[in-house]
Amino acid sequence: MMDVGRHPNIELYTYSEVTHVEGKAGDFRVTVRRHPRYVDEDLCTGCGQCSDACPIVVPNEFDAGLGARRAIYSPFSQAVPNTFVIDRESCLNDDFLVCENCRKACERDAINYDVAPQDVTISVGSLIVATGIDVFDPYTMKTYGYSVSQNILTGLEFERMLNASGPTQGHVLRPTDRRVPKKIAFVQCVGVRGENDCQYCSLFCCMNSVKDALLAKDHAPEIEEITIFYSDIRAFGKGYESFYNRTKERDYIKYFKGKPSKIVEDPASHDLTIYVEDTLTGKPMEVVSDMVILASAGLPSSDTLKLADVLGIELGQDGFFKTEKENAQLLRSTKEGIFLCGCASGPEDIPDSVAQGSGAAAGAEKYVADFRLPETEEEITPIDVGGPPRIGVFLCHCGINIAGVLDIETMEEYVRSLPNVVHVQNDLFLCSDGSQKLLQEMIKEHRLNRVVSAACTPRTHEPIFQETCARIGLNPYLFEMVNVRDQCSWVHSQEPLLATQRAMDQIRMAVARAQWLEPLEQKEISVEGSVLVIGGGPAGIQSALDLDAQGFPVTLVEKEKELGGRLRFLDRLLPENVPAVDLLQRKLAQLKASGVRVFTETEIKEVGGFVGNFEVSTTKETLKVGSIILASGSDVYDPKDEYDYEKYSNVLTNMDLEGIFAQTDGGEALINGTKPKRVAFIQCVGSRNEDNPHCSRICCPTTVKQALRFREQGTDVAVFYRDMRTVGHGAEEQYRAARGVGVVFIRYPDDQKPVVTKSGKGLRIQAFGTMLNDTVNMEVDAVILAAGMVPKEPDTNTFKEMLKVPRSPDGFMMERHPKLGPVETTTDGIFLAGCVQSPKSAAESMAQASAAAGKAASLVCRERIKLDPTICRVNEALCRGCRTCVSICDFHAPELVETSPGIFVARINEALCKGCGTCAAWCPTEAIAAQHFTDQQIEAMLETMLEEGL
Amino acid sequence: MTEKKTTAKKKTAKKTEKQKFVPKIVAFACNWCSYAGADNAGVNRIQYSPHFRVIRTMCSGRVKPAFVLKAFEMGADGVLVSGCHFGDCHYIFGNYRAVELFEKTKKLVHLLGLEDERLRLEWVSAAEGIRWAELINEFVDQITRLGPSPLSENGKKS
Amino acid sequence: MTETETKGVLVIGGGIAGIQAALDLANSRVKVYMVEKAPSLGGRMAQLDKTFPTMDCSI
Repeated sequence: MMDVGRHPNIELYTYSEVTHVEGKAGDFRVTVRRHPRYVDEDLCTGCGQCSDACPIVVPNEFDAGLGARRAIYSPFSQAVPNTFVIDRESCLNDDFLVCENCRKACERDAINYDVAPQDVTISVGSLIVATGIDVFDPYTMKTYGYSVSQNILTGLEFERMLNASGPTQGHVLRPTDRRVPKKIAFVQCVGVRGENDCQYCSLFCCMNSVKDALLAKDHAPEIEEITIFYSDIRAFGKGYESFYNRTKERDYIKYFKGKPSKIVEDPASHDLTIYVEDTLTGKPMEVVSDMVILASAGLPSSDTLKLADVLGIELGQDGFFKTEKENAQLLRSTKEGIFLCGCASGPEDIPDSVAQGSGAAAGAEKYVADFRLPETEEEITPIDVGGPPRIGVFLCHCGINIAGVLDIETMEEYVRSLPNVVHVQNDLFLCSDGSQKLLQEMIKEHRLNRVVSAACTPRTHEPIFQETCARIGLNPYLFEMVNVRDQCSWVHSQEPLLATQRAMDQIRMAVARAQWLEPLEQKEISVEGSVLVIGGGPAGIQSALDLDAQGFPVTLVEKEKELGGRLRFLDRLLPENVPAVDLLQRKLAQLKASGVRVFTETEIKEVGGFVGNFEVSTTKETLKVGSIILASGSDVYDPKDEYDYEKYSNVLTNMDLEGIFAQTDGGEALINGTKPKRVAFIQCVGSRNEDNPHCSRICCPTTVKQALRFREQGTDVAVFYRDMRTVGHGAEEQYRAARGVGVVFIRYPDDQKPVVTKSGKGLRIQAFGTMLNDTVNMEVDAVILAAGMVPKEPDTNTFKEMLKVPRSPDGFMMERHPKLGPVETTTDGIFLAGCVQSPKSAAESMAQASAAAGKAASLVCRERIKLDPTICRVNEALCRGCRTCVSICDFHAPELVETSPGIFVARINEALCKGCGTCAAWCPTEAIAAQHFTDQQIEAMLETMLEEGL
Repeated sequence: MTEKKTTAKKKTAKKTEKQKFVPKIVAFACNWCSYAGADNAGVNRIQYSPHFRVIRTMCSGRVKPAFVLKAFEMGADGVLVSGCHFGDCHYIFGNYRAVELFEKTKKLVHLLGLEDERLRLEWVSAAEGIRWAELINEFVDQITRLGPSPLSENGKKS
Repeated sequence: MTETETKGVLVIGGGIAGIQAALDLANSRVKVYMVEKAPSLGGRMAQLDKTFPTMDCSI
């Protein structure tokens, strides 16, 4: 978030809206209306004195109304920008009562009440709509009593309650009596899946409640019982099922399948009675709970309708923005040049939202590829930093934030006495433009070769100071920062004397460290401008096309004879039922028309090199590329003798059936030459079991799609399932439609699989139906196994070794981070697309493939990349070649090289090292230096701290 | 060098020394989670004990046994190593390496004849300002109860 | 007009998806304009305490 605020290429218009758009893809003109904040962004330091002075208290939106804020406020503590804002609706001045307390309180004169809204016109090639999601307000739902009882919260309200910086500081408290509840109940699917006119599934609420149940107990161990009332637990994403399974092991969490009909509060005790049908016995039950959390549905963002009008794009039936249908492109709107990501087109979870953000960026980039900003750099003559350290120390008041607690005068006097300190100065706001210029002058005037500042946190301000130093030629790594605000004056304000003492100690430690600081140079490496895509399925093809559209040379390598991967064997694609073959033909035509070099029947033999400079040898030719996208796909689970799959020809998998449907050409589907009268589907075959604990995500939607197809030809369908996880756009609606046309859904217990036996020409299926509380016997003509997805072997392992990318516990390739880096890997320059990372539909695979393409593009669009110099370096004279560093580094940065016959030393690849310093900690001969965090630097801090005493 | 120290510093130091035992505690905090968590405590103005000093490292895996031993040998009464929760590490498995190293460190500290309670390894995330504050308070209390380290000046005297 | 106009990309919405899109574009040397209706970036995700399945903090 902070990166956006600081990025030189991003212009931020907060508190603003798009009011008018004209033009077409490649050439849009957009009008943005900026609402006044009444607080100057350049002057405001976010100190909050204005807020303290404000007499108005209103509910805080950020805390879902559970907390309070003033009329002048910052929405939350990490807000970007950190500028305060006046809410004129609640401000007294707007009612012609002159208050002006905030203006008087502001030391920097940042507040001005007389500002009008401002219109800005900008010229863009493409747009990305990422308007997110709103939360359904259950206030109008009389049955659940949200409007009556304070002890009924929405999921979002509870989320704020769990947050340490939230309204209750993270304590789980029952609103009516502020006591820790003994029993909590979660109610799922509030306002969706048929209610409140919402047919869709909100997707994230199941996992959110599961997570909150776990967190609630962590926050309040006194909680005895947490019951989750659900319809289907939809733990579909990567790692979700195992997370869900872990919560099932907790004895205080109970999962109850059933939907409460009403919730009633006892007026005296404020306890809540939940009326629900016990699905096992069919009898009505009453469950009493201290608090109820409603997993409230996600709704299209409130400005969706207005924005659709301004942008001229269509909405779907569910009220979200409609996605491009023909090519199953989840990231494109109905108008060229306008892209969708995150919840704009329907509810998504965080990993998918992030990946879609990257994917939409890749699509949008095509229209502005000719307008890339230059990589400019000014030449600055470096300051000579040789000779003894000459340290300058700068103390910041931060208004009264620091100076109100710490005794700056005493500190200044003390710092002057420290060794090698030649200049000390204090400043009201050190980060202000004027003060930064003064700092530069002082560096020149006093010939400073080390700078120490005592101010706020280095996490936000170190880059600013470093840049200030660098701009006049002082190596930025000769700057050191002491955190005397966030970690001192703010947290020890009751003890100013001790706080001052702590600040002086920390400054002394920083000065000691500064003596040992070394100038570090950012090394540059060149980047090959081309990309290799491994795998020619829908994901690989999409990545290649996206990169080609932006003008990058791409090579696509496929092991098989034909391109298309699993797309070749599918019938129709979710969500819009586009024939797979049509999509594939279009994609292949696009590929032919593009500049992508395609090698089929080609395998990868070896991969060497590192980010920007990979050398890949294939069975056809050797390539030099800057980046690699791995889209090698997955396999469908082979049931073998499970349910006698290999024995009987009328036991099929979803995939087998897709093949049959694809060949019917719109006619009736025949199994073993005849039209089946009745078929049964069995879900979770090869998924959600001990061997493959993950959920394969696509089988439920596929089954529902196929069941509907069977119904069209009059075949009766029964589906034996555990949880129906119809996730993805339109899937829940199809599930509903299937029930509407008579598809029978029978839920079997997790530990009791159905049994299939031969019965005459057909098959007999026997299962225990939990909702019926009885054994079901059914004669069917065919059984279809919803076989899940598994990692492709041996390919996945081969690529793991070759690309040095780890695999997740589920066997699929591991992403760098499920949310922060869903398509990146731990190896820079290597990205993942499609099912190689986890099971996905074709449309989802293509969306992720666009994301991978975008990531690769931002790497190879540069001629050179700078490497962070704060990495580890080996002193080869001290290295004994013991391999310790080689064995512990997860980034494979150190490797042994033979410097002379029989003599091996470790060398660290600068492009692979991330600078964590772990190898430096492990090296038995102290041959490795973690630059900028060297042993001397850390030990100097320890020494001076302990020599002096506290 | 030491004679040059000014009166200001000495005044405050002496005052507290006379009153009661004030522990010397070193807290190593990783840049991405624990240090950020400490910042979060600040943003939320959570008050906690000032009787410790922070050293920032990029990863908890950087804290090698020699640093901890040096701290104790020079008279530290307690050492805290703090990193990201498992699965949260900026360097994927750096905190797992920290655990392995910590086991070694613990044994070495034991050999110095110090109580195990003087050394702790904890996880604090960037959002856990409250946890950071509580952890520091708790650790300061724990060390205060233990009294001065036998290796420190105070400890040798008593 | 002699001045060549640089065309950028407009991102509407400063939540997690919009932030990701904006950063990726900006890192590809594309000019980005980000419009957010609220006074701060962050969107829904900023309101969440921790996020599944890794339980890390959301900001």
